[in-house]
Amino acid sequence: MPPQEHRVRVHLDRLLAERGMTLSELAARVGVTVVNLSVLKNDRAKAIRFSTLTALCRALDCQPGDLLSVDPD
Amino acid sequence: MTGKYGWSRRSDRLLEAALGLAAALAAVFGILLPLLGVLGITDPMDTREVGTAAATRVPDGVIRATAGHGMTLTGGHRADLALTHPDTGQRLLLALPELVGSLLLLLVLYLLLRMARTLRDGDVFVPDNARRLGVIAGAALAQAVLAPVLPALTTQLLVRGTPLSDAIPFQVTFTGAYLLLALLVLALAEVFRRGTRLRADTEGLV
Repeated sequence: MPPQEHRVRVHLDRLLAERGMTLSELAARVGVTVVNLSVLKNDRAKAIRFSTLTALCRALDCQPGDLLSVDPD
Repeated sequence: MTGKYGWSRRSDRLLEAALGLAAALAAVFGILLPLLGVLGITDPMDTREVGTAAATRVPDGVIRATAGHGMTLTGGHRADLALTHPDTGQRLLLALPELVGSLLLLLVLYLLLRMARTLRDGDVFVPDNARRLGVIAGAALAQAVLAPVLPALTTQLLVRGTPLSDAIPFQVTFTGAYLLLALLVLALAEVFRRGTRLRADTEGLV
């Protein structure tokens, strides 16, 4: 199956701003490197592990739907 | 700097140097010198070991020497075909199996050298390497067929129209070594292809 472009947007920057948290602090809390979180924040990630998503939602006190959305066609 | 498995930048350089040296030796001794022999510049190639229909004769002295020891010595079915004054075409036929084998070897060494260079970037799982391994497997398969067929074919062309054509039958003996090698390299190519795809899948995974 040929790879398809995705339209998933990550709202990590907004959630971080709302909670007054830095990327480094979040990285320390979820155990993911700042580099990888930066990839996620800048919409350069192609996939996210459920374990990472769980850790992010726990640290940011949110649901996956708050973190991710899909752009309309 | 030494890597996780004891592999270092120096190892990369050594591997490339070894492959480069092997390619240079194959080019000189497998291609250049036989070609110079064909052109008559160096000692011309004039002999080929062939299979014969009749057993070759063992010298009487040797037979007599074994007689008192409960042993017999008989001739084998191999002989040397020597051309007294081979022309350029005959010299080319004599050198052709070695030239083709060396060209295939040179192709394999060149591709291995290109693969070794990808080690410098620390990433061998690239689509080009999977393709290169496929070509190496093809070269091994070609050698599996050509190594026994070419000498037999060129020998027949050399003795065609002479009384020797009856004494030297068309004999081809295939061995499984090259075929096994080709299959192994094909399997390795598939491992690389899947490894490359797997890496592409996990790239960008957070």
